[in-house]
Amino acid sequence: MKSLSYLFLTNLKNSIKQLVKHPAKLIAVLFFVAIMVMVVITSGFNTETEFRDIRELYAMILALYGTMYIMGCMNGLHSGASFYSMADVNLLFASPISSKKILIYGLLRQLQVSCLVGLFLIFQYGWLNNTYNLSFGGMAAIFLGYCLTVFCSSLTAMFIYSMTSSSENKKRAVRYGIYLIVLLLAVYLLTAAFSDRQNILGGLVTAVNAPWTSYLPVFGWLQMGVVGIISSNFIGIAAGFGLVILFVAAVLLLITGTHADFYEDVLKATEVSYSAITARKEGKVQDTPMNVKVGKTGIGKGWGPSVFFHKHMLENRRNRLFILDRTSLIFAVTCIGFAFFMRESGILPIFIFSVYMQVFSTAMGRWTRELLLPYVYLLPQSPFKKLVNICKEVLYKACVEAVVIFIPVGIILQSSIPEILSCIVARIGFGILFVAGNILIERVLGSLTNKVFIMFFYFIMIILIAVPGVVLGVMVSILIPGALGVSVGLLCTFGWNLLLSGLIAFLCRDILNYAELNNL
Amino acid sequence: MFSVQNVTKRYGKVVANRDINFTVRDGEIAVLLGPNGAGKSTIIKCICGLLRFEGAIEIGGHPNKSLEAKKLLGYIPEMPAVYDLLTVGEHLEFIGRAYELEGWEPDAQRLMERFELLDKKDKLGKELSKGMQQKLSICCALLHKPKVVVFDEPLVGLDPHAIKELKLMFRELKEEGASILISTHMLDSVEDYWDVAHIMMHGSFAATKYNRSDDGDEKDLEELFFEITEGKVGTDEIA
Repeated sequence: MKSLSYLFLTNLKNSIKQLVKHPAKLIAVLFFVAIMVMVVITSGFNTETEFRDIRELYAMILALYGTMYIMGCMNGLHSGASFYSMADVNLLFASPISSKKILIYGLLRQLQVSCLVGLFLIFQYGWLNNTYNLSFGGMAAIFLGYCLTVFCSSLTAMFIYSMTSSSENKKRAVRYGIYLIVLLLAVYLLTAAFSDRQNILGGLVTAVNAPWTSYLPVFGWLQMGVVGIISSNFIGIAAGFGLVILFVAAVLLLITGTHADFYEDVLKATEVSYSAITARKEGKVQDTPMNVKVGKTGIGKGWGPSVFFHKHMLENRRNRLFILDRTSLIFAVTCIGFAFFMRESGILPIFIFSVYMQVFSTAMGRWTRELLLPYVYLLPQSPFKKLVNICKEVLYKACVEAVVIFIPVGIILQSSIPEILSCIVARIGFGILFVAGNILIERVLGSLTNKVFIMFFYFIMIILIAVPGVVLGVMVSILIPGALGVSVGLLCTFGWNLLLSGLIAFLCRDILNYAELNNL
Repeated sequence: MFSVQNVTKRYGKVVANRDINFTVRDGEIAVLLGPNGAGKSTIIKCICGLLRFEGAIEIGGHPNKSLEAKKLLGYIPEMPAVYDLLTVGEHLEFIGRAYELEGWEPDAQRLMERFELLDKKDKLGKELSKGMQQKLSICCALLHKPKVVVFDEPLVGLDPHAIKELKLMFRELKEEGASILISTHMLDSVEDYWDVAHIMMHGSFAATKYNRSDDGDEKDLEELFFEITEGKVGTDEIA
């Protein structure tokens, strides 16, 4: 065990040393910590005296843990889960160290990773404190529960993989079993939610908080434990965490007792995560589905630079679920869902939320991936024409997204046609601006290889170039009263965004001559 | 032909290439040799216009970033450049259309046959093994019949048939008058088909050797390479 503890501690020590050696990384970490501390401190100035029903928070905890746990378990059906790096596979698995000790080492590593993944939850403390009067101790309990959920889902995925990898029938049985459970839960929740059409949210919260949901394996138990901490219910704490400890012990016993040779079970997942990490380091976005239906072959259209647009459309066809690709569809459904629960607030909050989501979908457009392969640089065509054509796909996507989101949102909110149209137009305007922001950041920081920093500066840049248009829109909407003011304000942001985007595109027209292919 | 004049490439304070000068004439095969990290891939990317640099690079008498230069250039990167969601056939269609090549189909067919990709025509890029991806990358780079072809570690990951075919292709391209630059750290892969070899160390040329009978140097390429890279002679002594 000495060698494993040495490895664990040395890795930890070296990652801290790396921070000191790379001041930029240290600044980013300090910035992250400072924001986190600020969120916690500013929440202390909470002056609210009326809070929402805490059962809503309990329902959200169950939903979060349930989603993470089920998604983690599904991994067990194709690649399992791995607590190891490729270096562990190559060096540790071949060494004369007991496989059980290596398993414990892997579990400790996984726990460490789970904690890091869960840190984003701390940022939610401000509004949870304001809305539900959640204490910092309660927030820490939610964080702990989240870490344990991720940890248990990895362990379960590994167990599922080791038990089913040898037989397609077993895999199918587990897959359909999981689908059935999810379906039953969905039917139960929808029936409960719509039993009282006047109070859908209330019905849903009551259904999720039904006593039996706390006994749903692992995520229900963890929610029971965490809710126990928040509400000082010691029986809940003991029962919830006790069941989880028993579960972990039983799975470990099954893996090591009946199936001591688990190396093969983690190998595939390790390779998958290794290639994903390598791709991320190289700035590549891996969102290609596992099974792609090729369908009709051939690009069929385009000559010169315009072939990029038709190629992107073909790639989208193979990657998409409905009219939109996976990411855009998730964003659209989220916005529509948001509209459903925020009906009283009007269309503007939904618009702001959808624009916020658009920042991410634009950053993941196909054109950014094009910059990671040499063809776009090598092609003997005008750099500006190439730039326009590689960006067309994301602009097309912005238009489709705007229509797919705001027509249903408008129907749900019973908005007027001018309101819906102005939201569609303004959102397309922001889509164009975000692409321009992307181009600008590539022009300014194209030679930087650290994609994390590029993303960081991208967000700053987006805020800087969008703010004047937003201020203009707000001023106009104040001057013109009523719903018309909002529509005219939105159209003003469109005007500004279009103007500025045109200017940026003109100034950066030679970007493909100056950019550096920095992925290799 | 193409020429590289006084090219220096810096990444911040690190100098990846320092004052590189060389020319590859029509019908000439030049090889860049050197250990890992010697700066071979960097100078290749500079030649192909993928990196910014100080100095001048001309392809067929045109600055390397001009459209005229790009029309003459074919580049095979070290890491295969393929699109996950395009089939093998669609990659070649993409190049044919992007380079505006009239009647590209028979040439694409011939290339796929030579590299045994015909039966994989409808396979997606992501479904190919690394070796297959490398073969596809080579086909894409050669479809527009470039006059200057730059290969970065082209033989890594290829199967014996593809290696044989590619070596044959080097000779054919040479006979057709193309200027070829091949970077490698595997000495035995360049055998005897090279005309000039540049040995790189620490971002600079440490030695240049010509493959001619009147070349005064008695040492063979391998001996020279190890003398330089293992530090038995000072680089100034040879260069």
